[in-house]
Amino acid sequence: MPISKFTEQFSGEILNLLLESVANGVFITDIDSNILWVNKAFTEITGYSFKEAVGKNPRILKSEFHDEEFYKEMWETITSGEVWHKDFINKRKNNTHYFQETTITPVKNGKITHYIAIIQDVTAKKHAEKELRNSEELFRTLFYSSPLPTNIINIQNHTVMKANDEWADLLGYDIYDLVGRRLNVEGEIKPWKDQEQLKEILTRLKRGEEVPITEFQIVRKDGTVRDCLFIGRLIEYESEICVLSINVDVTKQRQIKHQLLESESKYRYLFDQMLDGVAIHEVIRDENGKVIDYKYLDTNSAFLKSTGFPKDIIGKTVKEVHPDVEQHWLDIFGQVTNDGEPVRYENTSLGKHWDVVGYKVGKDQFACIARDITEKIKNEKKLKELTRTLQEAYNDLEDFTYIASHDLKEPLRKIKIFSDLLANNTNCEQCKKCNSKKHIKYLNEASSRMINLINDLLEFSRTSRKEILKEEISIQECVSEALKTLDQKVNAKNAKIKICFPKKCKKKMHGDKTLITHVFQNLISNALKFSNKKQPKIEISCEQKNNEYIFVVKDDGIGIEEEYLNKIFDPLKRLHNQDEYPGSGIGLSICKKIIEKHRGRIWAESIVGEGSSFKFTIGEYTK
Amino acid sequence: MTDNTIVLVDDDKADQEIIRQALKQSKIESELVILDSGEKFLEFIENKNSPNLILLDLNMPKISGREVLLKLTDQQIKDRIIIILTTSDNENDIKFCYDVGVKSFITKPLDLVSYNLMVENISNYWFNDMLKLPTCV
Repeated sequence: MPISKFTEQFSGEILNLLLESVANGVFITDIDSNILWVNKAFTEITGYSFKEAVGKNPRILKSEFHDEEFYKEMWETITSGEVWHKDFINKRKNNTHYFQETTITPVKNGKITHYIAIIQDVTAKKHAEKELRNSEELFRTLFYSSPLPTNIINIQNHTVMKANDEWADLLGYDIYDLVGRRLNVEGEIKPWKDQEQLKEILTRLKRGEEVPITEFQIVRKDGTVRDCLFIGRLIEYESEICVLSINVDVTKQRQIKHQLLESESKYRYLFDQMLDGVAIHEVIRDENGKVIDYKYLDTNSAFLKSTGFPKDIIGKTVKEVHPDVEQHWLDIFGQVTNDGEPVRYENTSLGKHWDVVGYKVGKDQFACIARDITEKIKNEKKLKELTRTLQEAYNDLEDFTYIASHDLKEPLRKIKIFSDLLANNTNCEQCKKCNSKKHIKYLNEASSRMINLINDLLEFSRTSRKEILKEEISIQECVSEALKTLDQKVNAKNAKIKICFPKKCKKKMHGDKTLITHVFQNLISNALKFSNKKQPKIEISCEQKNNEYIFVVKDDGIGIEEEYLNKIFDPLKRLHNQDEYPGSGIGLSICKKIIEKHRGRIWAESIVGEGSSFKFTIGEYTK
Repeated sequence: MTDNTIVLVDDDKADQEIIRQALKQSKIESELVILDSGEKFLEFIENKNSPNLILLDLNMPKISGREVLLKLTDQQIKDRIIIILTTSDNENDIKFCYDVGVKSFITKPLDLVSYNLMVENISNYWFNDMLKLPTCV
């Protein structure tokens, strides 16, 4: 059937029914754009009823969204007989806007007589399109500009569909080396260290299960390993089932956490292994802020061990474990937590002596380091007792030396005097024949020597006991003083004495003038004694070495063999018999004692046959 | 008793002998009275004897020289020439003796020559016509 025939047959009622039942709005205008007819759908879309629309210009639907150019182009199209099709924004009767898909067809019978417009409300569709566009835009932005390494991998063939630079950086690859490549399970690049773990995760994702955030390790291109978190979801991407995952690099955090744990464990170890008891407490205050109790927050094992407090002390208060604690201590710890000034004290409690340091460790918190000094105090007492006993014994010994020497001297004095008397009485003829006179002489000499010896011993003992004076003295004066007392001996020996004190050595020293004089006297006297020269030369001098002054008494006497150089300072040490060089052997030990009391040193240097040098220093006293 | 009496208070026989010998050698004319204990000396003083010169030892059994000095009155000491002749050279002893008013403190010499010299010196000083002494109470 030709179309014209069909149109004739169905025109009128049927056509009308058809136009009314379609979902698209339809309206017909004359050449002057006056609406002649609208269908029901038109009314539904625009809000204008048939009666309201007919006779009006379609301009009633015009919105302010499009400029004149837009409408001009429409008119140009349809007046030229062309069909015009466009989506644009129109306005409903109630002034709301909507997207309208419009097709305007000119009706031509040689020339244009009518216009037929078919309209459709595509607002919802437009919105959906926009949403999608926005969503895609947002996703792209998120994906590429995210600071988190992100990728989309095909779950079937493990091909990288999409990845951002951060992810490529994390793996140590260029992004172009990754996208399109197959990774892990069947790929050449296997950044996921534990492939079994990955397989399990993929299996769960395929099953549609939610996979929680998982820790895993990535092996980078250069072989280094990073600790990461995997956050993944199953998505459809480009019609493929894929896994969208974010891999967060937490290596640094892990390291810090590890270091922190290590440090914490180190200090914990230190805390636990300390021999001193340590406890951390929190003070408990009343409504006025006064400390009325404190709670144990932490203790080390030494604390529990030394105090004997139970292990479950933490969380308890001192009044619970030690009910008779004095308010005095609470006040002290209150003070510590208030002003932060540490305290240190010794006390006796729980049957022990303690050395305690208390200091603030946080708001209302203080720590105590308690050292059990019971043993130390006991030892100190013992030591004091011992020192006292020793001092007593020493004093007794010195008293004994003194008394013994003194009492020994007494009978000797008599031997000496009576031998004197006897010597006076042995001038008779008979005595000259026998050897009595000679024998008495030996007796007399022996007793003299013994008296000298005891005198020297007494002096040695006195020097040991004597507290030395610490006054400013001139060493030169000591030398002059010593020489004065030795005047006779010097003359008798025809000795030549040279004193050589450079200017820098003329400084005043601190010491005991009498004792230092005695040392010079002794050394010069020895120098005179141990010489067999006709004119012995003795030089007394001073030299400065390494900030100390060395005083020297040098002779050209018989000298001392090297092996005896140290021994000559021992008490009673003698190198010669009495006939050659008389003496008690105590002189140098007295000198040594005196120099030691002055914190100095004394020593001898000598060449046998050429002479000896006796040298000593005097330590400076500091007050 | 002559003016030149010397009273020696010493328990030691040897020391007594030494003094005796020393006096003999020094050729000083004086009478020597020897008392061998502090008790005897105190008795001697009580009997109103008025010795010119007393040589008093410190170390004696029972009543020592020190105790003797404590038992005498200040006046008794002041009026007499008490010379301490002892082996002691203890500073406390020396100070004590001078404090109570002895005239001299001598440590016993260590040889005969010194002894003789000492006795001579004492005698020459104290047994001198020019020296005037108070009357003993």
